[in-house]
Amino acid sequence: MRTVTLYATGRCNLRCAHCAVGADQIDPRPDLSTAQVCEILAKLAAAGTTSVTMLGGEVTAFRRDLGPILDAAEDCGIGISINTNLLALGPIRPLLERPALRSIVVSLDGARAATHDAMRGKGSFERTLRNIWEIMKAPRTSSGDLRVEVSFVLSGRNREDASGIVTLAAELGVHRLNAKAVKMIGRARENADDLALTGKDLLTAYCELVITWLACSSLELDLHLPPAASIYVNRRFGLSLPVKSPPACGGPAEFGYVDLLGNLLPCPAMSLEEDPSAGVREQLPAVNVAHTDAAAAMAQPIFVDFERDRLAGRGIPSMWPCADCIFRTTCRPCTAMLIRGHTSDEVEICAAVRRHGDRDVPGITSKLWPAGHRTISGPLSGLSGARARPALPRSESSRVH
Amino acid sequence: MATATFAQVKAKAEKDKAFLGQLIVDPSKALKGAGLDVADPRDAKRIELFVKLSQENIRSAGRVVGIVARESDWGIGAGCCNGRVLMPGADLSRFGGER
Repeated sequence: MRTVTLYATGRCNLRCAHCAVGADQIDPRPDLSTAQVCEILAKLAAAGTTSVTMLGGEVTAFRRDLGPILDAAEDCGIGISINTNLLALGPIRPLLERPALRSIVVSLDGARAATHDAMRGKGSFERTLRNIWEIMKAPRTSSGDLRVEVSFVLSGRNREDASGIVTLAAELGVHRLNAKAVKMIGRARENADDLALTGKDLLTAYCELVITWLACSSLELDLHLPPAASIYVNRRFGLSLPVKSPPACGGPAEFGYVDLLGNLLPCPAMSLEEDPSAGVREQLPAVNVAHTDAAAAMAQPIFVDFERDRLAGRGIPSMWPCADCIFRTTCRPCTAMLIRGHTSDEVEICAAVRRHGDRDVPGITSKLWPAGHRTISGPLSGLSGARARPALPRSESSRVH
Repeated sequence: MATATFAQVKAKAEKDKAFLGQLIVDPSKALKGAGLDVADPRDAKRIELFVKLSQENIRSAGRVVGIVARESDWGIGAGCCNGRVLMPGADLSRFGGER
């Protein structure tokens, strides 16, 4: 399990409309203690993990123990990445020279104050930009030992900033722009009316991200482009973007998630913070890495079954427009939506190409989805898929601490 | 909406890469978003040609610089799903083209 994301706190100083874990902020649960986090890091390192991302909530505002955690990470050879809104530089400034701090990922929800502040509060854009500039001047940033990245969640609210966020990231001199479409979970679901971004608008935004990045070409762009979407972009603009794509889900060999209770899970969709209705509600001794080894946790059926299903592409028939895509045997989209039991099982960017691609690239849909060309409205009916939620290990006696 | 000439649109695109990106993807939308109205059909035609030339420039730049894709680091950024990191680089030969 090469990289792990650790949900380090449910507490946050903001209430962003698109927050995937927004439900957890209303009545925050206790965080893992410093000792527990350090123990978890040591166990993850013993199992081969080299990188841990700490996120929340706002880790820098509510965890005052990042120094000792970074020390523990350095002792066991783990690099730490911190996701932050970077409203305040004070908590993070003393950490910039720590060798274990390998990257800072800053959330920017717009290329302009109007869009970013609408999500994160008046004045937040200017404050965050100022703090990014400061971090960019740190010696370890200049040397490349500390990477600074911008994370942009694309939604209906900020789609007009798709090209602007690229030029802003380039101007800031950050190493990478991570752009991802909003996940309609948590608080985002409550605000779906103006956050949802699908269809032609989603296609346009993705194209603007890619084309503007090509015009700048001074930073890395992390954007999930399934093969079908890559071919569409290539055909539309005469490009040569690589089509071969790593799977969206790399499985337990690559990724794991530690929830607020210390449970190691193969997918954050199983956590209570992402699924308040059915996520894991208790410490599960068999997979709780505050108490058990990470290797032992990964031998549990929850991980074995998850990987088996992933490799077999068990979720593909349930997802649209995957079932008859020419890449269905090789592409492995994120199946978190199936785990959550959502009714909409679409890979949104591919669905956008499926529904609207022929407008700008005539004939593209019959090439990419030759068998299912007749149906364009939604998931194919009559298919049984991997709808069943994975069985979570239950403990006989457990309590939430 | 302000009336704009080809020269003004070209100047804006050359100064503002975000606008250039939008212009290449959807010229009508980009002009409308910038509050520009191109009234003269000859200017509209020139803009169309400028967009095509800009597209070709980007394609050429991509070919010269190369676009390298590699796996991103899981867990970094906004979530767990792996993206593909596009980097200015060289040696496209390792990556497959279209099927």
